[in-house]
Amino acid sequence: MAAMSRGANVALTREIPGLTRIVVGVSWNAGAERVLQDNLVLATVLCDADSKALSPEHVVFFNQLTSPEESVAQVETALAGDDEQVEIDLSGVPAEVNRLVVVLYLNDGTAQRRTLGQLRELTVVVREAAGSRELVRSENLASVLSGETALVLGEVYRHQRDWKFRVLGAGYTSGIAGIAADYGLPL
Amino acid sequence: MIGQPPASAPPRPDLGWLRHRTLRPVPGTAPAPEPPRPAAPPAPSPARSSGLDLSEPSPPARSSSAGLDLSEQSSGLDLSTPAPARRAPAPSLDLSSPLDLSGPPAAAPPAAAPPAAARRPSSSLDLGDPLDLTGPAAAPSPRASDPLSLGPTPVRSPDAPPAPVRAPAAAAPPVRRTVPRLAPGGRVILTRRDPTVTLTRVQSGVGTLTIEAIVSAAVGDVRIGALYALADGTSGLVQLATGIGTAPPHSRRPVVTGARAAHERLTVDLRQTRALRRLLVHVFSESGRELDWGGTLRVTTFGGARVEVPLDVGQHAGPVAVLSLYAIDGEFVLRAEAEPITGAVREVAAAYGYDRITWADGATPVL
Repeated sequence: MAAMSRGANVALTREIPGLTRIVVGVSWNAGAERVLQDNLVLATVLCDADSKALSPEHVVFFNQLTSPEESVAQVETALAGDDEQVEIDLSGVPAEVNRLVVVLYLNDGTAQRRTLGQLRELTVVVREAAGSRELVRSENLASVLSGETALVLGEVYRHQRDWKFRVLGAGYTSGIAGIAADYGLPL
Repeated sequence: MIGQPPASAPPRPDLGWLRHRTLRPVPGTAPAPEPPRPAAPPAPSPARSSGLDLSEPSPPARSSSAGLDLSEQSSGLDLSTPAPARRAPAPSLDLSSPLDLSGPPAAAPPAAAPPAAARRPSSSLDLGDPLDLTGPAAAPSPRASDPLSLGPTPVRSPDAPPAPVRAPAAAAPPVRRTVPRLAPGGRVILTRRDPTVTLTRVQSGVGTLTIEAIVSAAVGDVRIGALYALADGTSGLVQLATGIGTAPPHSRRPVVTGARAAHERLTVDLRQTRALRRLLVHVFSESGRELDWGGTLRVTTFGGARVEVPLDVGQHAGPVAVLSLYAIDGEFVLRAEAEPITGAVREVAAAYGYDRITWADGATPVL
C-alpha cells in the first residue's frame, strides 16, 4: 500500500462497502523533545458545508471527548501504535456535518516555544474501528515542516453518498489560533 | 419573582446561585391554597403567582438543580402509572394519553382531591393541572388557552389521577437552565449580582488562561497568588511573593505559573486543564499595610475574551479573595468572590476549604 501524499484522497465507503466506524490515528516521533511531546494535541472539528465549526461543542479533543451526538469520540488510550486517535461513527454523523477536519497543534502553554518542524516523523492513518486494520496511511508530513505550530492533517468528508478521506498537511505558523480563524472555531 | 427573597427569610448575598431560584411553596402550606382555586381558574395567581409557575420549574421540596428535577420527577410520577412514558419522547406520550381517557373515568371526581395532595411534591408543572381536577366543569375551556396543556388536557380533565401527571411531562421538554457564558472575544464583568460565568470546554482547554491583577501603583504594593487543588488530590499555594512560582512547586511542567510583567499574573496551562480541580485567586499587600483597594482582576482566555472582577472592596488590611475557579466536567466556572479576609493567606485557605495544606506560619505553606 503506497503512502498517500498531500492532497490525495480515497473513497472510504466506496472502496469498503459497509464501513461505518473508522479510527483516524496520528503517530509521531518527537525524539527526545519531551516538551514538544507533552504539548501535542489532536483535535477534530465537525464542520458544515462552509467548513465552519458548528459550535464550540463540535470540537473533539482531550477536554471534550465526544461531539454532542457522540458520533465522534477521542480515544483516551490510543491503540495499534498510534500516539493519538479519534473514532468516528460515520453513520451517526449528523446530516449538517459535511466534513470532519483532523488537526494537530502545539498547545501554546507556559513552556518554551516548540514547533512541529522539530518532529522527525508525522503520519496520519485511517483504520477500521473493529480490529484496528490499517486502511490508508499518509506520507511523512513532518519532512517539509519548519516553523509551524499547527497542522491540518486531513479531513473525512462527504462526497455524494460516500465518505472520503483526504490528506492535507496544511501547516499554520499561527498555531491553533490560525486554524480557529479559518474554521470558525470559537476560542 | 427572580431576585425577590421571601419577606420572612433573611437575604443570603453569599449564596449567589440562590438568586436564580424561584420562590417555592412550603410543602406544608402548599396544599392549602389549592382547594379555593378551582372557582376561578383563569386567574389562579394569588400572592405567589403560582399560575405562572407552569413555566417555572420550581419543585417545592427539592434542592438540587431544576433542570434535572424536572425529568427526575416525571419519571418518579410514572411509577404510579406503569406506562412507557419515562424514556419516551413527546410523540409517544401523546399516543399513550388517549388510553388514559378510557381508563379511570368513573373514579375521577372523588379521587381528585387525594391525588392532587399526593402529587404535591412533584414538579410545579403539575400545579396547573390540579386546577382541572378540582374544577372539572369549569376548567377545560380556560385550560385550552394555556400553551402548556393545549391538546390533551381539556379532554382528559374528567379523569383525575394519571392523565394530568403525564400531560405536562409530554408537553414540556426538560427545561435546561442556561448558564452565563463568555462569547468568543467578548467581555464579562462579574459583580455581586451576576457573580459567575462558565467557559466552554474549548475556552477551558486550549492555550492558556491568564489571570492578571491590574492595579495602579497608587493603590499600593499589590501582589497576586492562588490556592489550588489538583485532580491528584494535592493542594498548595502559588505565589511569587512567597517564592513559589509554580504549581506544583518545582515542577518541570507546572499547571499554574506566576510571572511579573506589566502586572503580576498567573498563567494556567490548559493542556493540563484536566489536572486542575479548583483555584482561588487572591490579592494582598506585600507589606501587609492597609490599602484603599481598587483596580481589576482580569482573566483572559486564549481567544482574547475577558472576564473582569472589580477590586473595589474599600479599606482593608489583609488579603482579598477575588475569584474562584472550579473545573466542572471540563468547563471552568469562574466566580467573583471579592471578599476581604482578616488574617493572612492561611485564613483565605481556611475560608474556602483548602484544608489539605499545612502551614509554617500564616503566610508560608509547607509544600
